[in-house]
Amino acid sequence: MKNHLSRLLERCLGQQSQRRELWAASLGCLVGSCLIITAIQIYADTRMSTENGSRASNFVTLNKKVEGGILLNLAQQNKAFSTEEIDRVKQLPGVVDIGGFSRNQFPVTVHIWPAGKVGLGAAARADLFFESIPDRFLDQLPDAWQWDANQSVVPIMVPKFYLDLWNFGLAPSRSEYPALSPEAASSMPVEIFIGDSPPTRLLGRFVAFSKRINSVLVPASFLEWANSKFGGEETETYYFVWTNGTIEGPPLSLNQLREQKEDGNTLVSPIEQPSEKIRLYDALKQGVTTAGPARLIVRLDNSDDQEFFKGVESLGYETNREAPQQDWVRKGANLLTLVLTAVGSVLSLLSLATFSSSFRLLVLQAGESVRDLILLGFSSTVIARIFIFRFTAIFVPIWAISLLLIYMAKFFLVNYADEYGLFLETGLGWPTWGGAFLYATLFVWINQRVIRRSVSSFS
Amino acid sequence: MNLSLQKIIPHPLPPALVSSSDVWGEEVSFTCGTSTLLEAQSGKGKSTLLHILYGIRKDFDGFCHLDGTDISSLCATQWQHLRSSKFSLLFQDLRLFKHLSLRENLNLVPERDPQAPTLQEMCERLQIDHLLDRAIHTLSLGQRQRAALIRSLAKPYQWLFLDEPFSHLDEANASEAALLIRESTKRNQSGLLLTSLQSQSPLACDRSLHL
Repeated sequence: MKNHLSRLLERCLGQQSQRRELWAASLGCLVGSCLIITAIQIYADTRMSTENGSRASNFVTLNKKVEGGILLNLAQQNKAFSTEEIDRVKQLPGVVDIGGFSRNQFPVTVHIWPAGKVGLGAAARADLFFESIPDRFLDQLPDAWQWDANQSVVPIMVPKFYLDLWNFGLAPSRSEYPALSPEAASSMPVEIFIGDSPPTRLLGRFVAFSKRINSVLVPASFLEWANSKFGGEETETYYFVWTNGTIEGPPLSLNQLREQKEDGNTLVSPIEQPSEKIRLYDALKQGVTTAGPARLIVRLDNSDDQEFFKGVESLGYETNREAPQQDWVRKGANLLTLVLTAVGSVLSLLSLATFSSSFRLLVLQAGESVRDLILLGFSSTVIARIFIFRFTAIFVPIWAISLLLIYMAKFFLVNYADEYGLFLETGLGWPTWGGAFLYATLFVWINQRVIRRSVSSFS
Repeated sequence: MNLSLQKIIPHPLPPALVSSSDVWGEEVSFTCGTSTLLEAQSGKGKSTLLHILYGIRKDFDGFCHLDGTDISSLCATQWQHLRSSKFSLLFQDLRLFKHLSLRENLNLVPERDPQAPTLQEMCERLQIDHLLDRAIHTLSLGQRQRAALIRSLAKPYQWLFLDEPFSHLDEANASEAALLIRESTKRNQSGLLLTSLQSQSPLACDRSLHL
């Protein structure tokens, strides 16, 4: 009976239409909804990306500056951080955690076989280095990131941009090198040749592509094992040898001095500070100390902590901030969010105004019927409900289509963004759903209010 | 549920008409369960009085009380309640929905009086049952007047206001309509206010007042 009466009321009040105005309002509402929901989604993605990004850019690598000519740098190969220096870095503001890069103490050459099998096709050959950092600093920790002495394959992690360089730099210029997806690159066998005459051959595999660490990483357990087995003297410090108040001959390494000079009282001076003469005995004693890491990875609680960067500069170190494009992406996305929100809001307001005025006009056009129904004893709420249903029947599909469009756009965008190294979560985030529901609620509430007031004016 | 008028004078009414009226400017009571014929020539305010009592017009001086309550103080919700279940008005201009069929018009009431005869029965008695599925605008004025009367009798009410209900009816239909009204008001034990151009009406009332 109620339904029958509602249908009758619908028929009674359904004669009037504002077709053109409602089409315009619907279109405006569709575009406005899309823009606003997109803006919310972009904002959510940016926040998520920024959080990820801040995790990435919260990690800073430090090293000592390399300056001067080749000869000087040959003599100053030891750019390692001492324990005291590491402690000083630890004291800098904003430092949460600090770790050192361990590196190989042996020559490494790798042969990469892009065809997927050793000996098949051409191999890319390169002299390389290995480093390791504590696992807690890695941005990804694949299952294969384990190594023990019984394991035949060495897991290797390289920066993601190495793969990009291969795909967009090397592969297009060399027909024998195919472009590689991360999966294909992971299946390439890598021959690792360690040491000289004759080198030891090991097999390796790329297990992950880091977006945080710009280095060729291997598990710390492997590097320790390899250094102990194949490593030599880690550092070579060069000294001038003084004889009768003058420097005699070319600078010699500690090893060479140890072998050639038996007299511990011979005066020597470091190549970088020739005036500071010390006894060979003392120089040899200093040389025994274990060298620290040449690079440090530091986790900050705030990637923009200027105090930290000033401190680093005053200590004379260089920083290498990871993923610097994050800032650009964040700024761009924020601007886009702002523009979309502004345009979307204007369109939505226009559409809201058009909807409201169209429905107010609809009620006015049906004024005689509305008045007669009220005089018959129908409540204005029941009559308004008929118009509200009509509004909802237009608005809800528009709103749902907007969400569907954004969902589909996001689906394609995720894949697209991934190609550019940006990670986006699939689907719409909860802020988008929340925002979309809030937007719909507001839109419906305002129109409901306008309709109710218009109907009530006939009471 | 009784109605009382205290010196009611509608604003548009010429002062000359007030002095000669039994209602305007007087104190008049209408008791539920009684019927009153309000007789006057055209333009004397018959419809105006019913509209004042039904809460449509507010442009009058004096007071109108419903069981002691000044009707001017009633809110929209209270009027809605009165119109849906306590008052029923047959408008002079009928106020039927032209784009609906006769059946749809008769069904379009907020509440149905469960004790009232069915719409079919009432239509049969007033000889419009064969027109139930016809669009209302295709019916004659007399047929439409009978339709509007049936609609007003289909609602529950304690007061029935009929504004010239027989003005477009032939004698036979007017008599049958009067009988139907009498049965309905008796069943509902309701009050009846009926306006007419003549002092004689097909429906005999307990008293007659001249406007």
